[in-house]
Amino acid sequence: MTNPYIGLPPENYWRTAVAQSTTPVPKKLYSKKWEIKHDDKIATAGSCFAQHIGQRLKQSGFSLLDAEPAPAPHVLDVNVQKRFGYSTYSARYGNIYTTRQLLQLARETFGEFIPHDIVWQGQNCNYYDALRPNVEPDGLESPEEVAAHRKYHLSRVRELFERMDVFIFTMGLTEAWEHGSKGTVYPTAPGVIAGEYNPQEYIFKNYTADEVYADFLAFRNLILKTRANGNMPKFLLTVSPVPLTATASDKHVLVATMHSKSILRAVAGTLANLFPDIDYFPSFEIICNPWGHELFYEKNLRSVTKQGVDAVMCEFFKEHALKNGAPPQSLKLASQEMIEDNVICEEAILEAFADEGGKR
Amino acid sequence: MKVLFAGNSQMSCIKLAFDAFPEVMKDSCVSFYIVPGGQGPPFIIENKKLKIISRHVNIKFPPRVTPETAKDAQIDSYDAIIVGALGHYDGGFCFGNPVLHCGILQKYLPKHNEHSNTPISTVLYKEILYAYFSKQPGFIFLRALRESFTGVIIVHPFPVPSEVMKTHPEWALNKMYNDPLGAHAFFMQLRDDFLEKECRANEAILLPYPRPDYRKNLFAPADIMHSSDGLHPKPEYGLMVLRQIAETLAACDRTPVAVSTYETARREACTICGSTSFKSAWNGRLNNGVPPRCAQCLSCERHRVFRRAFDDMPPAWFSDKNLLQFFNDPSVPAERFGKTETSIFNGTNHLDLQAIDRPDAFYDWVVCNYVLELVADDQKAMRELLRIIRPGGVLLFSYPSPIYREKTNDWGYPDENRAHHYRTYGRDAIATRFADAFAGWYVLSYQNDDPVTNTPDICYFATRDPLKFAELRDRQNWEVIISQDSTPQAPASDHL
Repeated sequence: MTNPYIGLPPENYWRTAVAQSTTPVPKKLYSKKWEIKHDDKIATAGSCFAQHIGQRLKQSGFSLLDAEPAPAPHVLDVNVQKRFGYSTYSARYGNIYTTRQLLQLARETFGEFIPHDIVWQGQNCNYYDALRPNVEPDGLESPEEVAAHRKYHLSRVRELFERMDVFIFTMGLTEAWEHGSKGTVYPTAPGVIAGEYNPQEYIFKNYTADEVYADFLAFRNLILKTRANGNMPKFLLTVSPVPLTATASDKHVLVATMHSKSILRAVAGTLANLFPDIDYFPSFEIICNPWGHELFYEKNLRSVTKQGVDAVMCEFFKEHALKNGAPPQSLKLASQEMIEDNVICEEAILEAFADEGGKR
Repeated sequence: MKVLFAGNSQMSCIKLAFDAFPEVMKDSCVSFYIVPGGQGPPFIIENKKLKIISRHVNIKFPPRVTPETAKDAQIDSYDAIIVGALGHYDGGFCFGNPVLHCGILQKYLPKHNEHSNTPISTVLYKEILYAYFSKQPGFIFLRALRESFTGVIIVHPFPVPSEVMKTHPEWALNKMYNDPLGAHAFFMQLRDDFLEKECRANEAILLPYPRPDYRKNLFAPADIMHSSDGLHPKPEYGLMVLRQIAETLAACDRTPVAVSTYETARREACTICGSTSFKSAWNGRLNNGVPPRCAQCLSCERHRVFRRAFDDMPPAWFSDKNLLQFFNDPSVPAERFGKTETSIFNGTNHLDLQAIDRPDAFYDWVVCNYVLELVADDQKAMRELLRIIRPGGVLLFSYPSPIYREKTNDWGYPDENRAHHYRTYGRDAIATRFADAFAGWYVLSYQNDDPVTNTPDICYFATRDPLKFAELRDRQNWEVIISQDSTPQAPASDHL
C-alpha cells in the first residue's frame, strides 16, 4: 500500500527536518523563487525588524537604494542619522507597520490620495508629521515646515518607487489607527508621540486578511502601473517576528499577536503562491519556532537577538549569495554591532504606557 | 611670560598688529606659528612639540613661524598658548562650504535654486554643525593641547564677517535664502554655543568678539576687514584682539589659574608607577581641582584604586598564573603574572565578551574593568567571563558607577551622549542582575580612595575558592557581597 507521504524529501517531515536538525536553523528552509542580482536596486520598508535586513544587505554589498540620504553624511554620526530617520530604510518614511500604511504612502506619492490631519502637535508644542512622527524627535517649528519636509520626502519616495528593482517589505502589524471619517491611517496612535487622542475622531482598526491582501496587491499594481518602461520590480515579503508591544483590541496581547501574525503570514504566503513576482522569505519561521525561543529572543521575549538576526540573514545569503563571495560569518562586523542594536521602533514607546493601564 | 600664538590665516591680523605694536605684549615673550587654512590650526602634538598635519599644508600659503625656533619648541616651555581662529563654517563670498549647502532651513525662506533642496530642521542642523566643528583640525588640536599642556589656553573665535557680505550676491546665504540674516544669526549662535561648550570642557578661556556691537550686528565694519573674501580681518581688528589677549594674560598673572594650584592640591604619588606628574584627563577634565591622569603611566583615578586591590592580595596568587585582561588595563600588574593575554576591542586579539572564543576553565585570572557597560547583553557576558575561569581562579571586574548609585539604570541602547554605554550600574547589580551567574561563587567588593584625587571607587572580586575568599573577607576595604554556606563546599568543577 502507498500514500502521498512516502518517499518525500527529508525536509518534508518534522522529525528529520526539525526535531533532528543539528543546526539552529533547519536546512533547506528557503528556496529563492528568483535571483536578486547584485546590481538590482533594492528598496526596503516595513516594521522595525526590516531595519536589520536593510543594514545587513548594505553591509554585504547589495545595491541598497537610499533615495533620501542624510545631509552631510561625512560629518554626521550614523547613530544621529538613524535618530532622525535617515540611513534606516530606503527613504525617510520611518516604520511602515501595515500594508494599508504602505498603500497610502504610494497613493499619496503618486497623487492619488491626500491624507487628512497629518500635522500633530507634541507636548513640546512643536509640530510632527503624523505619518512618520519619529523622524524628527523634537518635531518641527511650524505646520508649514512639516508640509515642506513632507513634500520633499514624497518626491524622494516617488523616485525610489520608480527606480527600485526589488522591494523588500516586512509586514509588521494588522492593528492601526485611522482617521474615522477620512480614512487616513497613522503609524502610531494619536497621543503616543504627538497629537491628542479623541475617540470621536480616531478609530482603532484591525485589518482582516482580505484587507491586507487587497492592500498589498493594490500597492503592487500601483507600482507596476507607474513603470512605463516595462522594467517591473519584484517583491520580497517577510513577516516581522517581533510581537506586539501592546494591543488596542480587547484580546490578550499574546492572542492579539498570534492573530495579527497569522494573518500577515497567511497573506504573504498566499501572495507568494499566486504571483510569480512575489516571493516570501521565512524570517518569521526562523525566529518564531520551538527551538528559537532562548536563542533568538532577548529577555523581554520581544526583541530579536543579534544571533537571531544573524540566523535570518545567514539563510537569506545562502540563496542570495554575497557580492564578495565571503561566508555569512563575515557579516558580524564588530564596529557595526552597536548600530544594529540601535533599532528605532515607535511601538516600543508603548511600553512606557504599560504601567499606566487604562490611562492610555 | 612665554606666549605662543598657534593659528591659521585669521591670526595673521594679530601677527601684523603685534609687529606694529609689540608694546601691547610688553610683558611677554611672543612666538607665532601660523598655518593658513580655514578650519583652525592643523597641529598634532608629538613628543611635546607641535607638528603640522601635512595634508593641511597649503603650498601656496606656507606656514609662518617666528622666531624660527618656535617650530621645535616644547609646548611645556610656554606659559600660555593662544589658539585661533576656531569655528569656521561660512566660506564668505569666495569659498563654498558643504555644510552650509547640505540642506535648507525652511524658517529662513529658502530660494529655489541650484543648491540642495533637502529640508533640515534646526535641531538636526545643530547636530550637523556640531559634528562638523568637532572634526575640524582646530578643535581637535584644542583637545589634544589640553591633554598635554597644563598652562593657560586662550581661544580666539573665528571673526565675524565683513558687512559687505550682506549684499554680496556670491555669499552662500544670499544665494540660498530670502532671509539670509536670519540664517546667519542662527549659524553664528550655533558656533558661539559650540565654542563655549568646547572651551569649558577644555578649560580654555574663550575671548569675546573684540567689540560687542560686532556680535550684535552679526558683522564687522567693512573698513577693518579685507575685501578679498569678507572673512580676513585687517590689523586694526588684530590689534583689538591682541589687547584682549594681553589683558586676559595679565588677569591670569594676577590670579593664578588652577594650573599653578595643582601641585599643592595633590596629596600622593601614583600608586602604579610612583610618578608625581599629573595632567588633565580627556577633554581637560579635572577632579577636585586636580589633574587626574598620571603623566607617566596614563592611569586615572579608578586604575590607581584597583591597583591597590591587587597590592592587597598575596603575591603567590599571581605568580605562574595565566591572565586574560580586556584592554591594556593600567591597574593590572601584568608583570606579576606568569602569562598575560590582552583582548583589544577591534584589535588583533578581539574577543567578543558575549561569546568568548576560549574553552571552559581556561584562565586563572580574568580582569574586566569598565567594559560591561558597553556590552548589549552584560548578563551573558558575565556568564562567559565566569565560564572561562579555572576552579580556584579569580574574576576581577568593575563598571561605572556603583560607588555613586544604589540602583542600576539600564536604558537598553548605546547612548552616544553617555559614552555609548548601555547602562550605569548600581550597588544592586551583583545581587540582582548577576545573581544567577554568581550561583556557587563568592563575591567581595574592594573600595578605596585614589590617593591623588581623593576620589573613591569600587571593584569586585569573584572566586569559587573558599580559601581565597576567607583570606580577604576580613581585611579592611573588602566587603562580602555573596557568601556561600557557613561551611563552604569545595567548588564544583563545571557547575556552569
